[in-house]
Amino acid sequence: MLLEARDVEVTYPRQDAPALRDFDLQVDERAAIGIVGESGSGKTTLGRALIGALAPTKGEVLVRGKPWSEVGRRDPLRRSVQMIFQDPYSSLNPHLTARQTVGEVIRHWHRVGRHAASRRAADLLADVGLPAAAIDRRPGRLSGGQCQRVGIARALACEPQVLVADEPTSSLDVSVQAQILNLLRSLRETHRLALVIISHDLGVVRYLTDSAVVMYAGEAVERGPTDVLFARPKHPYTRKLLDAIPGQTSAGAAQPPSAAPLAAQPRETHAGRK
Amino acid sequence: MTAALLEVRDLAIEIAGWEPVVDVSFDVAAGECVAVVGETGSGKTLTCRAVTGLLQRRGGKAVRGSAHFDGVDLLELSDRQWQALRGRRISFIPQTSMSGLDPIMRIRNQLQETIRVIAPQDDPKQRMRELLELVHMPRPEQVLALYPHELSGGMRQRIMIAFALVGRPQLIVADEPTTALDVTLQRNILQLLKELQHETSMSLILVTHDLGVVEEVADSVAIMYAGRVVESGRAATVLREPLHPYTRALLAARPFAAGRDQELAAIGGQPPGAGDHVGGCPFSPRCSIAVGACSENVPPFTPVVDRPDHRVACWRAGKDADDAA
Repeated sequence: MLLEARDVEVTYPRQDAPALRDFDLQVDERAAIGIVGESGSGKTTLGRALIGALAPTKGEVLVRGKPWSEVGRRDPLRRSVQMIFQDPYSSLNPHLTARQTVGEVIRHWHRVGRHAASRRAADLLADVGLPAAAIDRRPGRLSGGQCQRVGIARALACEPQVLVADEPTSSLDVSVQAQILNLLRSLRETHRLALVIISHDLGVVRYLTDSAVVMYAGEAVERGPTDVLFARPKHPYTRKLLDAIPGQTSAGAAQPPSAAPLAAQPRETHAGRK
Repeated sequence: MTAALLEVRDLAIEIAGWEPVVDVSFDVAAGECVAVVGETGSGKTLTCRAVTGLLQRRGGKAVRGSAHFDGVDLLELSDRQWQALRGRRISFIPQTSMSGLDPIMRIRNQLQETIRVIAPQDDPKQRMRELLELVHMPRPEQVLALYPHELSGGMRQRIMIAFALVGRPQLIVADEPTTALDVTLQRNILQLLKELQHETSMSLILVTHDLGVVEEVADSVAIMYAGRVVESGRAATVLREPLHPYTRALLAARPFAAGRDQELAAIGGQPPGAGDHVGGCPFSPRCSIAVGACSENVPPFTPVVDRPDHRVACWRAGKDADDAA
């Protein structure tokens, strides 16, 4: 198993309820798994735990059978799991050009000289479709889509086996989102990657993944092959999510989109702090 | 056809020699919901600000054209004249509900104060109850005692809508009111806006980048690209039979538009940014059916033959990639 979460629970300091509880996930080589849910459902917490950026309160996350707590800073296992962030601009160092950002990572993991790293960085940036004119620009002079491409190239520089992407397109313009979705899909093939796609956007998950987990209030409420989940959702919450997509109706739902308003949500009637 | 409540004609905004909004024209009829669709930098937010009097005139900004609202040109009004109009006849709902509220005042005090200023004829207590009922606020009494940060995003957006309704406006301008919300909340807020629009027969300008939202709530739509309206008309017609290649590309690029084994029909490149100069049609560098003439002259925004209300600005409107020029 490439990456595995076993009974993971995460409780943040000074919080009563865990943000994530009893969570299991198995990521095989070249799998594509979607994690769907709304804000507060625990999906970002899960992403952070999967990449080893957050230690679970209970349970463990294993990379090739080894818990994150035993993976050292320069252990090659560490680079086998990489993350792509929601806000591509703020996840890049504003002082470094695209080429330097990627080159820095290459030199951290490989014994190569500055020039070789720079050449390899340029190749990677070309692979992810960054225009040649942009590779020596800093994030401030790149568009959102271009920053996201740099973020993806930086992840690829580690030669990972799993990419965890937390809302990879939600901060991008509509006409640019499809470019990034196509890129992620083709990289899965060319780099033989497993993908974990965390998103509230069911269209993104449907397009990129083979199986999916629906999360609600820190727990998995439904899981299964993506097309089955979309065609025949079993859990009422999954059905509600599908029905809520503006201009879309789930194949399994018999009601027209204008049917009775959704029942008041537990989350919305909660005043503030959870 | 009834006379329009708001008639925007050839609106142009210039900032230090650059025009982020050019020749924008659209109508809003009484009781109608018009969606303004566009991406970052398309000029949709500036357009909204111009018709709500929230455009700051400092910093070399110049505004041309007209925006007639019930006989008055909104672009000519002074700040003082706007005070008599904004909140009373035209209201604005911002994208982020948090920044529209005073963080250190309880909801009750803020709402009461707004009612006293905007609608002094109303009994504040009774009006507050009415408003919270209108926006289907669960547990209204408890909510009134809270501070903005104690409310969830969806509840804050309901409160913002309640604020907008205080003066019983004829027109509400909502700038991406659901973008910051979760999908199921988005749906609730859209339904609420639609319902209020019917109950109070007010007009609504809804700014969005989401074509699904347009499909669901809008009567008419204006698609903006790089500061211009490139296509407008009845929402159902424009979405079902789009003529502008940008509208067509947006529809085709939606993740739900493709089968799982197909590649998404992505639009190459990116929208022009501040100060980028594109000759001719602003979409031509990214357009799959552009011909030489497209990058030479800006296409006029013209009515479509046999389709009342449908207008498009494209030299090759309705053509496919393999059609001859």
